[in-house]
Amino acid sequence: MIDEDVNQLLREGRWAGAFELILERYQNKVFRLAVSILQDLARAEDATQDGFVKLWQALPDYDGRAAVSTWLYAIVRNTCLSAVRAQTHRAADCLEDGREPSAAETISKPAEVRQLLDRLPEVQRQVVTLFYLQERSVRDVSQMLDLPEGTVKSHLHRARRTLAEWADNQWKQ
Amino acid sequence: MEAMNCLEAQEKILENLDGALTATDQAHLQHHLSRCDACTRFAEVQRAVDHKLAESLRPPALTGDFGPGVRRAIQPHRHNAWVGWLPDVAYIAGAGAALVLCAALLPMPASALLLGGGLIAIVAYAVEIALVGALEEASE
Repeated sequence: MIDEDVNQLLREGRWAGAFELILERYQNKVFRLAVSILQDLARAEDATQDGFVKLWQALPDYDGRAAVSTWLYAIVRNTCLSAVRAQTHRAADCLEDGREPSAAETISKPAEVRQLLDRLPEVQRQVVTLFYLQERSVRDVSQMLDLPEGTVKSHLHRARRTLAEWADNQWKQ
Repeated sequence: MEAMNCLEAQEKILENLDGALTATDQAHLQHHLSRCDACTRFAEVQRAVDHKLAESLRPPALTGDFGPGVRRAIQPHRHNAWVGWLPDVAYIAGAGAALVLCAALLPMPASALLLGGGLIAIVAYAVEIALVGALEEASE
């Protein structure tokens, strides 16, 4: 079973050891998940850290019913969604005050790709981004976004058809 | 070879980019593409989109301070594993002490000893609950 070593440590109440294994095993995946949702490296790293701190605080309550990774991904998704809501409020406040919102350190994708991705529906943008960041693993994307694999493929295919229509003229060699 | 229509062929082209096409499906798709210009064009554009996305969306790296930063952040929230065991340990110790006290000190019949021992065990349990509560509060 995946993470059986982590579960064994948790059953023994050795939370620090379990946490170290989880941190080492999942920090990059969780960071990519946060990047796919927030599209901003600095905020994604903050959300990843917050997610691990929340996981640490909740570890003694872990009952083993769901996989640790499933639990961690859910925590980080919720943390990111809270960050998105906070950012939306801040942007609205800036607009009311007539100030420019601060520039974000986005993923270093070319402007043309970023513009096209930004035009996709939110969930398609997340699926496409995570699919490529996660080295084309539909299974990983499915687990990380808590979507069935068929739904991930369906979002990917729809997004690719849409992107191809928009990009046909720009990208053809 | 079973013929594939354009709708099926385009779906297979997209599935191929997910890396999930069987050898048989590949053969059917190639057969269709060899005689369909529209699907050949669709495949070319999809490959270009896929290449561009793969090139643009490379896995980002966490900063070098990420791991140490997380460890510093959880320091104020260290868990005390022994707090969870304390109720049982204290209860057993309290009940044992009660029985020893009763048997050693009280010149009474067995029923009175059991009653006295039970009362002391209950008091020990109440003390232990209060103690655990205080320790958990202190550790937060």
